[in-house]
Amino acid sequence: MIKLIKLSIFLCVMGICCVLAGCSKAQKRQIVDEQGNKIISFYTMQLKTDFSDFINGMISEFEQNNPKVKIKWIDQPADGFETKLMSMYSVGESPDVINLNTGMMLNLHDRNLLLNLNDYLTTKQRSMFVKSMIDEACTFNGNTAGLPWYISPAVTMINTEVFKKAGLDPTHAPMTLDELMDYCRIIREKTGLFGVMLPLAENGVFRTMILNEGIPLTNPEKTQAIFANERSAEVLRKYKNAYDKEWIPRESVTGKHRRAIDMFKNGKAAMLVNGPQFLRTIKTEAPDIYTSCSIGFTAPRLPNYTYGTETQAVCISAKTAHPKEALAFALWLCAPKNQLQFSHLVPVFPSTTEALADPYFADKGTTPEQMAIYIGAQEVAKGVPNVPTLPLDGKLCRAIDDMVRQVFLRNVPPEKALEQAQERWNRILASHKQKETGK
Amino acid sequence: MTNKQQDPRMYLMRITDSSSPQMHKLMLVLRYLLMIFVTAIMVGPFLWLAYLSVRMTGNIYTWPEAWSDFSLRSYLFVWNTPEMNIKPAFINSVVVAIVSVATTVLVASLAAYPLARLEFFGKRIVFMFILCTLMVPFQLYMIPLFRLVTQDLRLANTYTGVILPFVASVFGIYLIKQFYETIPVDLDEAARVDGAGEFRLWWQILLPMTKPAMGTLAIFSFVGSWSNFLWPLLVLQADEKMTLPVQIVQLSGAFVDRISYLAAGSVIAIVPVILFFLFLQKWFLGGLTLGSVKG
Amino acid sequence: MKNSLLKRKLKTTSIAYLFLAPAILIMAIFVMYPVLQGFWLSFYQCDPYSSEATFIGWDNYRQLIADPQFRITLCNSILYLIVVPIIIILSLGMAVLVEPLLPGVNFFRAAWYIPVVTTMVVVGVSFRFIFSEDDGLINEVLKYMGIIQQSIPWMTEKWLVLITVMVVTIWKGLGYYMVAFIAALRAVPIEQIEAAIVDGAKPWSIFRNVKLPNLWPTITLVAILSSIGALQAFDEIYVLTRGAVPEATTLVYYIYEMGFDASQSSYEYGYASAMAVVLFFIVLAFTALNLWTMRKGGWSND
Repeated sequence: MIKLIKLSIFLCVMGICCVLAGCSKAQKRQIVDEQGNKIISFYTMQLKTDFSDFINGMISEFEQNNPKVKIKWIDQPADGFETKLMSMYSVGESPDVINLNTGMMLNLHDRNLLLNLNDYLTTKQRSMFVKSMIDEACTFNGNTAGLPWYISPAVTMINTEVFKKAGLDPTHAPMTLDELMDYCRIIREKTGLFGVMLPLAENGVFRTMILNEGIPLTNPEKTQAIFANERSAEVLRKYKNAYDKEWIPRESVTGKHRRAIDMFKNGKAAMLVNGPQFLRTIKTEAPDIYTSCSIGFTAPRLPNYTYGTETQAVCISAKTAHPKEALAFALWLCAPKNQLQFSHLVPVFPSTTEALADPYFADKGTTPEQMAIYIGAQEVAKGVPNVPTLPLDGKLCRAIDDMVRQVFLRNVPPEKALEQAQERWNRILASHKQKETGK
Repeated sequence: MTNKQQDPRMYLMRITDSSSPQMHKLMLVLRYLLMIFVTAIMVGPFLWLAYLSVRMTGNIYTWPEAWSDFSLRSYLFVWNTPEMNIKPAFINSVVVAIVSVATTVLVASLAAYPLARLEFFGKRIVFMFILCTLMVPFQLYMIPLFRLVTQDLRLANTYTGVILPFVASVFGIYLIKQFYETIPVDLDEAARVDGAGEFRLWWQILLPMTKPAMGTLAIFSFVGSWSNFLWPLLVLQADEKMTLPVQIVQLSGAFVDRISYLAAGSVIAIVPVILFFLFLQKWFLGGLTLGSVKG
Repeated sequence: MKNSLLKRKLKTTSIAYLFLAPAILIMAIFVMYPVLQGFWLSFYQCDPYSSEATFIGWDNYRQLIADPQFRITLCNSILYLIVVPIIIILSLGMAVLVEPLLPGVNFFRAAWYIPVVTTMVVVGVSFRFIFSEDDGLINEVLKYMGIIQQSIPWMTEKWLVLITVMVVTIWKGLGYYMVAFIAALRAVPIEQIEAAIVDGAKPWSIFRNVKLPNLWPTITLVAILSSIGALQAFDEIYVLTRGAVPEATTLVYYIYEMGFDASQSSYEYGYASAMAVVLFFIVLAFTALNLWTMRKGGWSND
């Protein structure tokens, strides 16, 4: 009987070993397939649900034009995207072409994990793009970390019904901070609803609230933070006042932008400040609000700057085996024709001058979506994103978010919170500088 | 007597709950009221989810004006759109879950036997070792484990890599050990006198008597495997191999919180687990148990 | 005589290890080995993106002692243990309710098990709807009934946030532990109960004197599992607040923020490892305490 046990356990152990050994043969990532085609893997973040046809179409067209290259598109959920990327990188098997937002692009660039496109892009290819989009939003310390794929500037979406009820003019979006706060107060008093939910402590968004009052964050060399002053404190105080009086929702501090969309969609907030692409959800899920929607420029903001631009870039891993083909594919994604097609699918904006010049963006139209496209395109045309790109962006954002929470949730005096945040910024900037010189 | 054979515990409840038939009825009504109350709390959020999955248009917080606000469109979309991969992911998840459950139960039952029944050198140390592994936060070893599985063992993009790290369930070993300990030792002794070896003892006496424990463990490991999100996401690379939770999260688009898709996907994902639960509990939690076996 | 005893024990030992081999092997390879690497990394400064690391000795641990956020989240994690007795009592109570095979009992068991299997992402959606400050179900109902004027800040006030996430933990955990208790209750030898009935014992005293002693091993198990779960609470916070109130997050969430979170871009993986090591020893201590008190509390099986 003991033999039987021994045998069975032995089999069990052997089974495990076999499984381990059996699998250890295969599964090194392929860079060339059996037919000698070069394989380029392409990661996107949660685009599959809405844009499968569009992306598959681009891929098959690209493969037709480049017969020796095969694209392997893998769409990843936004949750866990970063963890997946870091674990892939840590074992040296990163994807070749990656769709990243500015923050993640900065993260990877700080670690030298992205191909510096300066060495690969021709002047002609470079000049395809709106200059500021590639030179400011995608270039750090002189290295071009990615190609801008599409951009979405913020606009103000207005629920005209609520505006009318509150006795406000729906064609006139508030222009200054004071006006915005006034609107929120009136709407709150007249209708019991909220004027707007601005997520104040999400990814350092308060930086833009400060910038929009014309207060610089850092010195021109980007080595010293200089935002702790009376003017910034005044901005904080104005928001805090509105918060304390419940003119703006309590969740402004803890909620994120998706919550703001929710509130607008469900008629709880009269305005939504966000990219026009979100109009799509409103159109399908709250058609009555969509039809009564009016679009305005975003307030408060400086007239010369593009407000709240989010750049989505396509980047190429520094560890790619086929940099040329990867770049060709990245450029194909950004080709004016494809960008334009994308803009038609969802109101996002192209980063190439040729696509932006399309009459589609000059049409004022009558639908809210077309209005948003018109206004958004005007924002993009200004070309200067309002938030400067700084190294260790995430840490800086965290410092700003913490400052906002201190003021709003713990009632810390704005001056003190600003002072602390500025100190933190200076420490972070100094530590980065040290690292740079140490290299 | 017939009642007792059906479920001894029913019979017991009847005779203990009541001094009189009226009292018994009252107790029964109270019991059901309590059960309904608990159900309301436990299922409430789920009902909200089900509501979200069928409410397609209009303000979700207001009462719908028309029936057209409701639709099963999300279910059809989620289930039928090939790019969403829900069907293959569903099958993948089932395969992964079944293999996980079988292996987990086997490994745990094997390991629990000596811990409960045999006196051997290093028992305490082994037991402590096993317990220790339960206490490590996953974050502490996630990245090293990932390197081990994908680099050293070359298990990237395989189900072995998804399943194997989690089949030695400490919880399972512990649970089954506890059950083994409640079985009277004289049964073993009798078998040993009959000349049975340890393996036969385990296979013929302990295993059949611990169905409830194995059923419980099966349910737990099924759920564990079914809802695991991060690890399959990391290990698997091909879209067609991904498991259900990964695909469900993707249902919500990039620019849009498609709550109705997300909710529909989650409702679809809950169904098999509940079926598995109902199936197992008939077997393990309802029928014969230790007491009756002994009789 | 002594020699033969020793021989027998040696023989038993070899058999025992054969039984244990699969479990021990898997644990050694897939848990212990990477865990030791994790321990080792806690003495390094490293980035999860690369495999390179710089040795910095005890610096991570020194940083940890001085870190106020570490202290706060550690306290929260320990405070989180409040959920353990609540879970034990409620899930045991639920198990007692559905133990006998009354008509419809299968439905109730399955229904109560639903929270366990609901994806965390949508749990977040549902609970945000219930607890939201500006238009959440609870606040709206209380306002409608005139009980409160001002919204209750479920998602912003530190203690309330902790309570909210604990409610989610409890809600999601009850069905899980209930199953263990049902199994244990049904394993109580029927003869013992019958004997007690013959002696004329009342239901409560049957529960106390007959059932409860048989339940101790399971109670220990549930206590251990739920306290480990409580000390490692993460998902609830991730889906509900995303750490929007830093004072009301747990240690594991902080570990995640430091090691993995994109929006924080800290990626101090070594530091995160050091915190995880500390957490490991805390969990170890609590488990030992659990085992010890439970043994004193009436379970002397071992």
